[in-house]
Amino acid sequence: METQELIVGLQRGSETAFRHLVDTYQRRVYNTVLAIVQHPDDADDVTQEVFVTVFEAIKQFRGDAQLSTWLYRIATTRALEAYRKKHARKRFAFLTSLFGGDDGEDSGERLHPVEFDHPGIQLEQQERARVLFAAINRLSDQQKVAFTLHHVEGLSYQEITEVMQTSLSSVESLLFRAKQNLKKQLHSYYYNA
Amino acid sequence: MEDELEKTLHALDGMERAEPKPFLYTRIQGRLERRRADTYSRIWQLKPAYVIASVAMLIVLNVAAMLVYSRSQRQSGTAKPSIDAVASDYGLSFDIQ
Repeated sequence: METQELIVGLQRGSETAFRHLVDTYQRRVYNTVLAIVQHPDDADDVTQEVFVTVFEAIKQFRGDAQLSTWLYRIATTRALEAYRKKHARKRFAFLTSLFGGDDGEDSGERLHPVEFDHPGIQLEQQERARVLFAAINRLSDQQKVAFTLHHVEGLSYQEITEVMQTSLSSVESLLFRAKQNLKKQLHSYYYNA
Repeated sequence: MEDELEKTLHALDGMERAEPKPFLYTRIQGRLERRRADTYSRIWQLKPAYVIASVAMLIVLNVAAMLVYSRSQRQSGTAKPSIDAVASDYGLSFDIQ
């Protein structure tokens, strides 16, 4: 099914078109979201939410961007929202525990964050990827999105400019700063270990 | 150590895409169904036409209840003399001066 045909089908509410959309893009969306939220269940939940958003908002899609670009934009926005929400809840739980509140199940996870193993990483690289993902987690939102789209999804700088609706020089700068920050973090990880 | 750092920085090179759990489409459909049901109930509650219709129905029911009640009151008013007559026959009535 051609992209234009797919968009027309989606805008008419065709179930076949929607199924085709999910089948075609689910891996790209899930993989992007997983790299940001770093939890398989949360990634599954956010991926569903992304497709529901697409289904509900497709009538407003004017075709001035590629469908994949639009999907990546929704996916990264939703993933960052979910990540922030979860961590805000954890911070709140930490505060309540300070004041003698219930410790809850999350306290262990909070004090010793769950290490994330991406299933697409080769076994011999798992340990290093775990350290790198923990460092990616500490980047700013914009740097995290640019780094994920480039290094996890393999998007070109030009494609990232379209997803993030920014200039090429901004993307270059974001990726440069992301790399610098990661190097700093890894440096302190290896030298202070 | 610098070598270790560089290797870690490139740990994502050649990674494969992660696969979502099976039946993602079915789960999305379920979520859409729930969303539709919620929206429908919210629309029913908030759409002005439905709100006005519900209020009008309540007013009509109240007016009807009042009419029925006042009619029954009138009927019990006409029946009152016969009850008084029965009471006086049995010596049960008395007047308060």
